[in-house]
Amino acid sequence: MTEARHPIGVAVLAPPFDVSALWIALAQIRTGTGHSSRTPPGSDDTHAERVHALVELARTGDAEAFGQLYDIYVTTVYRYLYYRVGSRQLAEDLTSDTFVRAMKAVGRFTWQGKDFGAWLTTIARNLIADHYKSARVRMELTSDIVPERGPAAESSEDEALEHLSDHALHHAISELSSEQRDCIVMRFLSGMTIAQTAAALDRSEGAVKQLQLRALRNLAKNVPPELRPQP
Amino acid sequence: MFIRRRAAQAFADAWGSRRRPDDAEIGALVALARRLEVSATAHPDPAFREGLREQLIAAAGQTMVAGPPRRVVEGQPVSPGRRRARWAGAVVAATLALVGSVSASASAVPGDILYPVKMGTEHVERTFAGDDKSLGRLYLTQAGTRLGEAEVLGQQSNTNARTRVSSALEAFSDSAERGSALLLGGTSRQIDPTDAEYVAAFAEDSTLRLNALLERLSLADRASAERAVRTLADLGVDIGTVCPECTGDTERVAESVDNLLSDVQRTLAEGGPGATTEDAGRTGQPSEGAGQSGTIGRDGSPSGGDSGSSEQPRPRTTAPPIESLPIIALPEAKPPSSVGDVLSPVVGAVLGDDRQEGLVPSVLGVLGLRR
Repeated sequence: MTEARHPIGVAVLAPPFDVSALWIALAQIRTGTGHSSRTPPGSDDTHAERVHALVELARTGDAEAFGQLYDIYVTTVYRYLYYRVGSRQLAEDLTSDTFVRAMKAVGRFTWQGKDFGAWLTTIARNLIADHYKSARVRMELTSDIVPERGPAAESSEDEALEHLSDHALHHAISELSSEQRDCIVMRFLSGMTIAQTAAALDRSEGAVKQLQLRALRNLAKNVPPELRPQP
Repeated sequence: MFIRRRAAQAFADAWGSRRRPDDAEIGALVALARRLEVSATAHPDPAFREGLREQLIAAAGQTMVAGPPRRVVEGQPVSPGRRRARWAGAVVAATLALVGSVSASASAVPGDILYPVKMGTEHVERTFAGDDKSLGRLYLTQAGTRLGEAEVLGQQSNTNARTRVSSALEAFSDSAERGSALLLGGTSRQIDPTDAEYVAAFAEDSTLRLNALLERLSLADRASAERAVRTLADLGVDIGTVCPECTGDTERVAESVDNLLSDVQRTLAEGGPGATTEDAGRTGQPSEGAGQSGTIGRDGSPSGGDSGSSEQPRPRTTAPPIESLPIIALPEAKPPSSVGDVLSPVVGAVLGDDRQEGLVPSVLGVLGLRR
């Protein structure tokens, strides 16, 4: 079964790979589903082993393995980009650029304590920086980067109010400093763990804990009073 | 800083455990974070998602560059070179363990398990000493180590530790005598002034340390303490005897000797039976104890007999054997020019100053000989 689904992977199963972990990983692969946004990648050992095996295959040029890594991380990367740039179209463009760049560089990927998802998020973050550095975009910076409303039609007054609340919330996020904004988006909108966020921001986990606390405190001051959390 | 770190950890714990936190502010921030989490409903459009995947897979042949395979660290037969490396590693580990034991034994005191290791290490060090000068200095260094052990043991209250103070002090005296003999004892060779200064510095330092240690000594330590004090005083005498060229300003030396004599006479007057309590040294009337002291005059000539109430007090010059002194051997009568600059501070520190601060007054007080 595994051979039928992944002939290239089977062909390169000889050492140097962790064969047992790879077989376990390939047996558990569910293509096209990704993972729950509330369950950050790398949250359990089995998932980590699977990702590890796929990355090792992708490093050898295995396109299907890279495709499965894409399935796992595309939502996380897209969500991070979307809540950072506030545009669905731009988020899709940057998501494409992120995975193209990752596909070119995955052969040189070394773990060095860095989660693969954090590595992708780092690429995405750099792309955002490059995007805003371009002269063309500098002229457009006055535009609000609060995410657009979703395409779904508001079917009730409650949903409309909820969308308005979300809009105010995301507007408050856009007023944070760049690093605090990154931290908030990675941690609570993209669902990244402390370790992944620390790796993506190139900070220690302790520093990220303090950063997220400061960011949330500032965010609580920025949101409208009706959205301000009550103890 | 600490409070911020604690708050950050409290939030992280509350967010991770999903339990209601005790702190109200943390609870509010957790609620805000949950609100954020709920608001994150963005998903990539399915058409975009599938389309991008297909594009990536299609472009992989031209885009993906295979990296070097990861090194295999398991499942390979061990090569001879690797086996040798493992043996070398084992040898290094054993060496490190030995070095670690030796290093750990540096702080051992008599009675400790590692103390024999420490003594063995010191013996090896002495074996590798190149000449008498190096060996002598090594002995003095090790004497300082013995004194340090006595200081450690003196701070311990158990009886076993108390009994080991004396052995440490005896070992101190042995090492100090051997070291000074090697550095100063050679009458057939020219004494290096730096060696004399080295011994003087050792004696001065040891005097201060022994003085501080005396407060923690008991009567059971009296014999070893007396011997240690006597050894230090002998060092001062030896320095002045073998190194006359160390002498600097003759007048100043003579003045130092006079002050020294005053201190000695007062100290021994207070310490001996029937001593006068006031100005004994200044009047030059020695007590019985002081009468046993060997002293020297300002001009270097013996001033015999009791000078009584003469206006120019001169100490007695009849010098009994050093061994007959109650605590310490005093310098024998000799011309003042034979006493080097290094002698005065050393012996002065041993015998005490005008304020009765010195080793001898302390010894007398601790051992109950000073009244």
